[in-house]
Amino acid sequence: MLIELKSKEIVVTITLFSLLVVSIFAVTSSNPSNLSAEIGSGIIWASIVFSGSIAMSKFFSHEEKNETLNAVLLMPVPIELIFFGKILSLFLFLTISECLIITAFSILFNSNPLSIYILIAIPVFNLGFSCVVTFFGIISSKSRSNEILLTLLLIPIIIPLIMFATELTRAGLEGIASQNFNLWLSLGILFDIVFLVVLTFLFGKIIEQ
Amino acid sequence: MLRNLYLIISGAALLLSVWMIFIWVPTEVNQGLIQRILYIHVPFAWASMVAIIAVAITSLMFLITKKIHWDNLAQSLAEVGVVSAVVMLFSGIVWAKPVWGIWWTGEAKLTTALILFLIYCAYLVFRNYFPPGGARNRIAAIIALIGAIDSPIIYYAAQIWQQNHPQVVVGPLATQESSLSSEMVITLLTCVLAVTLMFIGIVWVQYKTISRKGLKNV
Amino acid sequence: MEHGDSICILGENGSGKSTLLRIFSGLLKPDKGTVKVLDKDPYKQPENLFIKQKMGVLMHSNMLYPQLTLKENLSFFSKLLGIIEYKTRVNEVADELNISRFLNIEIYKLSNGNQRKASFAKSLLNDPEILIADEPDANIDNDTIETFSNIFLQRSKKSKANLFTSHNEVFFKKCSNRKMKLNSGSLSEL
Repeated sequence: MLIELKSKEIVVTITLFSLLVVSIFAVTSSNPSNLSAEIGSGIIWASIVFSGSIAMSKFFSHEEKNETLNAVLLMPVPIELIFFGKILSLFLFLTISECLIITAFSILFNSNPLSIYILIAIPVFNLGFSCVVTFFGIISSKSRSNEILLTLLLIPIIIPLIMFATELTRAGLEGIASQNFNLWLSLGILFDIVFLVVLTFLFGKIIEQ
Repeated sequence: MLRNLYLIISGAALLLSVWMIFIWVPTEVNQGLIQRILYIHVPFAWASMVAIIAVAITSLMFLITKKIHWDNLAQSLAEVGVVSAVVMLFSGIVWAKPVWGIWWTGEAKLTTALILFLIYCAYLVFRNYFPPGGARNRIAAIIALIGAIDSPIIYYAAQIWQQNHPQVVVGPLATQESSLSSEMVITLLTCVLAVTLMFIGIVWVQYKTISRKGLKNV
Repeated sequence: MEHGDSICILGENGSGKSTLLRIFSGLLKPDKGTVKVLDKDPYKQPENLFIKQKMGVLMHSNMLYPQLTLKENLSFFSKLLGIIEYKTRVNEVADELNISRFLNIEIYKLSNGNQRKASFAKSLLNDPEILIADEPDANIDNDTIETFSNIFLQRSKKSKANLFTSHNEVFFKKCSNRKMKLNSGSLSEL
């Protein structure tokens, strides 16, 4: 399944879009070095979520146009495995882009968002995000105006995950221990498990036509 | 016959509640006139909450039985529910400003209501964008179900968030607890009853319309 | 449908030939009725994995990854099919269809006809018991039609089944031993 990784387009799209968002904030804030942690973590994750959903909808509409998903469905591979393969590749795309975005952020705002918290937040966020985005990406690729539909469906559903990632990043930026760290972590992991199980179960229902 | 009776009863209940809200019920001491928004806010909050639960249940029934009337019912419930949610959110915002001193706060119930409202908006948008047919109805039901599964997680997240970020509620009456007098309770119950009757009526009309449209398309 | 049968489904545009083939291939689920392929239900896992293993499908669209080379595409699908000696198999199939020289070129750079051949090559990878092909002769030149029809005939000799649609009279006369017509939803033998 990892062969799909050859399409580098998606990483480029996510990174460039997020870079644009981060740059807008860097250019418009009067003193970028003095950014409050609260806004900083918001900027990072808002840019990742929006550019991620744009890039992913592109990815899935390509899949739909070339019928490559159908091609894989014709192969003797259990559909759950196909779902996990997609999640895995999107997970890797996201991780690469996030590393680049965070680097850009720390340069532009002269701050150091890197901390143990963000290192925990990234994989938990990515797993949940790629799981939900695969599910809704396949759904919305079959409709017209799929970019809008994917964003509309995706973002409200992953709000808990966004709150989780933002909160941990903020703690990292402030350089203090996050309150309720355990609660947040259990929330993030709970989200991942629930959605991985439920969506894998429902995946068969959305691909049959 | 039954329909006329229903119309008369719910119409009477609505008129009665309007009279109670504006004339009969005494003004609350602490908040003043603005407190009367309660009689609109609570019934619509109740209606939209019932709608969301009912959409999830009817969607589940549709996935199990595959009978189209469950799906039509889910759609009409979602439409009316989203409108009730708009009324709830708007009346809440207008009420919060004078009482709490702010339009909006990150309180758990508010956040959850807002996000659920967004999820069900997306559900309706999906129904409009996706090519009609069996696949659309099935996926719509799945989305409703996922929304329902997500809601406790959202509420949980909003609660932890609230613990981290204590709210600044600076309104003049923010800290005062107010209790409802018996007249107020009666008014509130009447309003809830009237809105519920109206809600069921509109859902029913909407359901009939959607079913008829569906038959025409077949 | 028996072993070694080569059935051509005829019918006007929009009569539902493609839909029928999609149903047989397991991509579409019928609203009513049941379908059995190789005595198994094509819509139920894990039963259908067995069918998928023994079926080759060529649809209207080419179903290949445009940004990958032909070789990468064929190797990827061979791996999914569980072919162990996939490198030799890819070369064999490419030779058979005369596209060996394109192996290292990305699919989107190939002409429509060559993409069609590539897609056909993909459906032959597992030497399928059943080949389902929706207008295999679309977009290709006469020489290639010749190659395609030879492959169909060879398959019939090995008592493997073909099920395809076509509008090209020369092609379907040569390749099929049975013809069926799909007219307003009902299939009749010609």
